[in-house]
Amino acid sequence: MSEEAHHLYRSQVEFSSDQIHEGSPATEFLQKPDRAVELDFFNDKMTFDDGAEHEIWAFETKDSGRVLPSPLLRMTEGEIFHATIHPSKRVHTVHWHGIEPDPRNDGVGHTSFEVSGEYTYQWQPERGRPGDPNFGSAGTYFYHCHVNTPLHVQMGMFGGLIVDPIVHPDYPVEPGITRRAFVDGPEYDLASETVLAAYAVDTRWHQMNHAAGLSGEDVGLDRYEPRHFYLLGGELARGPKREGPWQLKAIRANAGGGSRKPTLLRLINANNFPVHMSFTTAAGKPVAMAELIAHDGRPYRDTSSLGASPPTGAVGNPLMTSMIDFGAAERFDVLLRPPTPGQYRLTVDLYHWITGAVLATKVIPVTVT
Amino acid sequence: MTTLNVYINEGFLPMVDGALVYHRGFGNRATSVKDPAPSLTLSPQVFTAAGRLVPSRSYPLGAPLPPLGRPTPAFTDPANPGHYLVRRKYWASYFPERTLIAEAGSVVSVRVHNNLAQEHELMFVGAGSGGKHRSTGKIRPGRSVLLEFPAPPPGSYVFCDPGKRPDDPAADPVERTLGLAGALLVTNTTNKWQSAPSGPEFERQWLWILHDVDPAWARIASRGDTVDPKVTPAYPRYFTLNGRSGYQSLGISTDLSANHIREEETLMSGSARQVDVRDFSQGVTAGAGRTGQLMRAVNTGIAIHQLHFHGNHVWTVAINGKVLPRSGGTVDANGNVFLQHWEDTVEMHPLERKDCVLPVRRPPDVIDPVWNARSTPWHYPMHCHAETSQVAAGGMYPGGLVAGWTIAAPVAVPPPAAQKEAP
Repeated sequence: MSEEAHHLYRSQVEFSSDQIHEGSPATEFLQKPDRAVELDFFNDKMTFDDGAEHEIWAFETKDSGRVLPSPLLRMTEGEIFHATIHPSKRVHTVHWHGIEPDPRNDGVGHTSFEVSGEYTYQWQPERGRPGDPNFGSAGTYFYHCHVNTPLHVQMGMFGGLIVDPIVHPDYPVEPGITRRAFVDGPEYDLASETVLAAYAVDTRWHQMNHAAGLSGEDVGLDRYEPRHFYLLGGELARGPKREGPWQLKAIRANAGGGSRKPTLLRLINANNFPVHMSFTTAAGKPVAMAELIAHDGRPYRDTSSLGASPPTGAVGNPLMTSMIDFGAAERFDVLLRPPTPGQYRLTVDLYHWITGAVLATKVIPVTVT
Repeated sequence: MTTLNVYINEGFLPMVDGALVYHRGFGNRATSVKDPAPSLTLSPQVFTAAGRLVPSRSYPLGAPLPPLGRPTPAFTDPANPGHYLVRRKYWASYFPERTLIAEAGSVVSVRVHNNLAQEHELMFVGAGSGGKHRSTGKIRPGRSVLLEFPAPPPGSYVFCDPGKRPDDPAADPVERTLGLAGALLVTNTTNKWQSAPSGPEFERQWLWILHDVDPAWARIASRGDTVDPKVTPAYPRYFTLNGRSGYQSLGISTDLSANHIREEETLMSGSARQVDVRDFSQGVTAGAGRTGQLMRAVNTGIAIHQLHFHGNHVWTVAINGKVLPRSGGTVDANGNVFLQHWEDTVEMHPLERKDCVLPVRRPPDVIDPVWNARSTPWHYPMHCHAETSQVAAGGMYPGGLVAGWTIAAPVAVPPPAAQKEAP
């Protein structure tokens, strides 16, 4: 940012409280969309599986019902995507985390505008090219409000976002049965594809108002003391069955060796703090059953040659691990490759960003058949 | 050989909201706690391989200075419409306060004067042979110690006062958090536009020093008392990048000279170019080609930060001075991946250093008509996504650890006369 595009501020509080409001700005070069969604803001109380009730702010579509995370959005590389936001009474934006459009469609209040009426975001995820590490946007992302962001994301204004790859003739799929996470990625099983979003609630934050702190008051948005830790998500083919929080109870994974392709697990850290995940047997012995195939919407590739850069798994060097450690806003795409059928466990620790102390732990059974 | 005098001082620094917070720091001159402008940071200095000590905000010495920090392109790129060819091995980079630069083959020589009432120490973490630390050891109040050592391999290093745990500088963050910290950058003299012999070439580089300020710890220390994190758990309330937060870090304050410095040393910026991450030394003419800019993050703070770039992913090339492999990647026992790869959010543990290439390319998901019609610079935020770091004193979002980067507006420069690709 520089003085060439922004006016100058005398103080931080002037900057924080003087946001760039445009009621219903126009979308430049509006195209005919291949996918379009309308996102409305709502607030509601939701009851979670630990019995706690929290005030939640989130987005909903006409068909989604009131769910948390906000409805999962999915499109294919090359498609022109439109999302029209209706913030209701307050100003909000949508930032498409990891998707990289022009600044007006990036959804950051301070570098574009905040929306009080409506705005149609427009972007087109880049097409991938087999063996090319420089192109392609297929992968796992999330979207969230970027106004008073610490508060608004914590309140629940986020949802998963998946960009599927174009189908390249050299990398076919079985329609309706398998898909690839990126253009030349390994095939995975659609029926068991699962998303997991780590989310922890500090109930004090859920009492605040929309603009808390922006006028210079100390509202303690630097003090995050989550007492409730949740693993949101589930199998994408089934989706949330009812309104309220969509909480992951168990993971089904395919055993290797049969006709079924491996299960893909899409991980999103929607916390302020990092998480540590470990795969073990039911008895707690580590099992290196997770193949990391992509991070932050980009595949892991072997880029040692100036020619083709195949995915790491395709050159006999899969990034196998029993443990994954990642901080706020990072994502991983993980293929589950369990050694044998049976019962396993995924243990997820939420830990403090300074002390490293484990604040909460969730254990999810993983059933491999 | 010339020795740099370093003074361990104390004083009060204004935070982004104007609050004065007690700090300790490594300074250029002796100042007292009551000094209205205490010397708590070292201005950038270069230890040259020829044995000179040169105060300089820019490096390589004598290289042309990019206007407002932003290199101008050499040519339009005939192969990639809307993109440019950038000058190779040409521009200097600006560096922030708290930076020491040592050329490979130089000797780092510092005489450290402890002006304070307690023992202090200056340690270059991991800068000795085999990754051992180089340190003055404890310096008693009023005393001075000379520390000299050969520059370690090219890369970035943290220097700090390790407090009670010189054996493990990560274990006691108190003196570092009070301000006794900075970064040593060892440059690769075989190619000054390459981070290490096996590292990436860059158009210019940017050093980002991340830090967290805990006013409660500062209050205790200002009284001469000892901070015990068990009694007073860390609670940072200001979050800085190169010593600034919020609107000051973004260079949009009414202090125009301060904004100017931010543009030069912190806010990454350049013309669009099409980079191939397989080869950051892609020559097109003798002096121009396609490469990105190198972001070198050093976390001297106490919190885990998450550097999130909007607009472009970054290509992570080195962690803690080690250039990552391009094949044969591994996942370590803590679940961290060691392989060059793309990220939009770069995790930075305390005392960690990472090098990432920002390609400065067309944002991949913009539609063609918008990209083709652009006539102004495109500004993108970079901010920590551990959102508790995005406020100042508990509010005033976005008043925390933020910066940004810019794709320059299109400029009229011709294509190169000869389009033959050079090695």
